[in-house]
Amino acid sequence: MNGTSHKGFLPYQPVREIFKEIGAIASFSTTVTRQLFKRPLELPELLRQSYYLGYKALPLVLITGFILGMVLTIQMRPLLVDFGAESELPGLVTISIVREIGPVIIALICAGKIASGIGAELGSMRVTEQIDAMEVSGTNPLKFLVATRVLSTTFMVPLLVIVADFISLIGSYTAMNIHSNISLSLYLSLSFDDLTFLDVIPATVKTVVFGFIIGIVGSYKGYHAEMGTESVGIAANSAVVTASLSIFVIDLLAVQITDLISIL
Amino acid sequence: MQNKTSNYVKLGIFVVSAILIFVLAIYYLGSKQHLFRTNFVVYTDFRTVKGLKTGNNVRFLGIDVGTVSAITIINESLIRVRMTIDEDVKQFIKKDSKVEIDSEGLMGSKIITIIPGTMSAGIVDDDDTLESIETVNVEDILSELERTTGYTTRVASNLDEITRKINQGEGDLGMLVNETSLKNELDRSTREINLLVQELRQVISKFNSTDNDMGRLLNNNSVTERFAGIAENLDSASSDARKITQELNRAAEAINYGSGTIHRLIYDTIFIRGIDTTLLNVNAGIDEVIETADAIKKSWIINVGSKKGKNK
Repeated sequence: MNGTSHKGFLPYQPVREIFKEIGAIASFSTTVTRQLFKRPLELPELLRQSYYLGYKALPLVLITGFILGMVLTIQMRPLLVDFGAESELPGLVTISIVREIGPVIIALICAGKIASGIGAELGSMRVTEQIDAMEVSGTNPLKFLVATRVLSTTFMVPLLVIVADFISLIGSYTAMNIHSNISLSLYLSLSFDDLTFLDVIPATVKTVVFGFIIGIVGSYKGYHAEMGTESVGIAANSAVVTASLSIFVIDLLAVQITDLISIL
Repeated sequence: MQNKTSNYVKLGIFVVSAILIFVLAIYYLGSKQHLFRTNFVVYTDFRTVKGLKTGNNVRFLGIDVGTVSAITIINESLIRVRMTIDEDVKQFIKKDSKVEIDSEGLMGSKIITIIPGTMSAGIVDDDDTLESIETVNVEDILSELERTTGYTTRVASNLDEITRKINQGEGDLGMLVNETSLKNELDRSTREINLLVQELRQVISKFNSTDNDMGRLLNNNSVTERFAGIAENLDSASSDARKITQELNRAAEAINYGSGTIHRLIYDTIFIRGIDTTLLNVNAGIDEVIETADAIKKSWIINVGSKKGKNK
C-alpha cells in the first residue's frame, strides 16, 4: 500500500481525509455501541455524566428555547397579520419549533457545550495518559469513559429538546401576549391543531440520533487526541465542528425520510 | 456523597419533567386526533376528494368530531373515504346526513363536513355509508372568475371604443358632447329664460300691487263682492228663465197636443182647408161686393141725385 494507490482512488488529500475521518468515526461508533451492551452497566458513571452533560446544560437550553420561541413569534407575526392569519401563528411556530428549529438549535448548542466538553475532557485524559493508565489497570476506558458519555448524551439531548420545545412555546405565548391577548388554553389548542404524530415522532427520533452523534464525535475526538497540550484544544474545537456538521447532514437525511413516510 | 445524591435528585427531576412533558404532549395530540377515545367508523363515496388527506378533520356542526382514517380508490370514478368519528356524537348523526368536502379558509387544508340529517331517519350505525355532496371548489370559482374577467375585459374594450368615438365627435352623442354651437344655444336659451323669469317677476309684482286693474282684481275684495251680486242676479235671472221655459213648454205642449185653435191651425189640415175655402169664399164675396158696389155706383138712381145737385 503506497501513496500512489490512494491517489488513484481519491487524489485530493482533504477529500481523502474527510472520508478517512468518516470511516474512523463509523468504526468507533460500532465499537462503542458494542460496549453499550456489555456488562458492567457503569450506572453511577452514567448518572454522573447525565447530570453533567444533561442537567448542567439545562439553563442554557431553557434560555435559548424561551428566546427562540419569542423571537420566532415576533418575527412571524407582522407577516401573518398582513394576511389576516394571526390565528395561524401558534400552529406555525409550534410546527417550526417541534419539527425543525427546536431539535437542530438545541442539538447545535449541545454540540457546542457537550461535544466540546467531552472532547476536551477525554483529550486531556489522553494527553495526561490517564486513559493508558486505565487500560493498564484493567479498566475498559471505552466502556467506562466513552460508552457512558455516549449513552448519556443519547438520552439527555432528546430530553433537553423536549424541555426546550415546551419552553419555546411558553416564550411564543409570552410574545403573542405582547401585541394581543390570548389565553393559554386557546394558544395550546391552536398550537396543537396542526401538529400530528408525523411531526413529533420523527423529530424525537432525530434528537436521539443527534445525541448519539454528539457523544460519539466528542468522545472520538477526545479519545484520539494526539500527544501535546494543544491537541486538547484541537480535539474540543474539532468535536464542535464535526458534531455540528454531522447534525446538519443527519437533519437533511431525517427530513428526506420524514417526507418519504408522509408520502407513504 | 450528599452532594452526589442531590445531583441525582436534580437529574431525576429533570428527566421526569421532560418525560412528563413529552407524554402529555403525545396524549394531547392523540386526544386531538381522537386516538384515546371510543370511535365508530362511517364511510362516504366521492367522485373526487379534491386533495383530502388521511388525518384531515371531520367536522359536524362546526366541531371537529373525527378524522379521515383512510382513502381508497374503488374504481375510476369512485373514491371511498373512511371516517373515524367520536362515539359521543354518534347519537346526533342521522342516517340521511350528508357529507361534503370543504376547505379551512382559502388556503387551509381540506376538511369533511357532515351536514345534519332528519330525526326520522334514525341514528347512523357503524360502517354505514353516508351520502356525499359534490361542492363547488376554489378551482371552479377561479375558473368562473376567469370567464367573468374575460367578459369584463371585452366590456371595458367596448367602453373604451365608445368613449374614443365620443371624444372624436363621432355619432350623435359625440356631436352632442363636442359641438360648441349647442353650448352657445344653451347659453342663449339660458339668458332668455333669465330674462323671461325677470319679466315674470315684474308681472307677479304688479299682480301683487293694487295700482292696476289686475292687481285690484286679485287683491281687492269689493270686486269679488260685486261679482257675487252679479252671480246672485244671474241666479235669479236663471230662475226666471227656468219659469219662462216651463211656461213655454206648457204652451208648446198645448200647441202640439192640445185642442186649441193654434194646434188646429198648425196640425188640422181639414180646418186649414176649411179656412182656405172660407177665405176663397170671402174673396169671392168681396169680389161680388165690389162688383155690387160698382154697379150701385153706376146705377141711375145714384146718378140722378148727383145730376140735380150739379144743375143747381
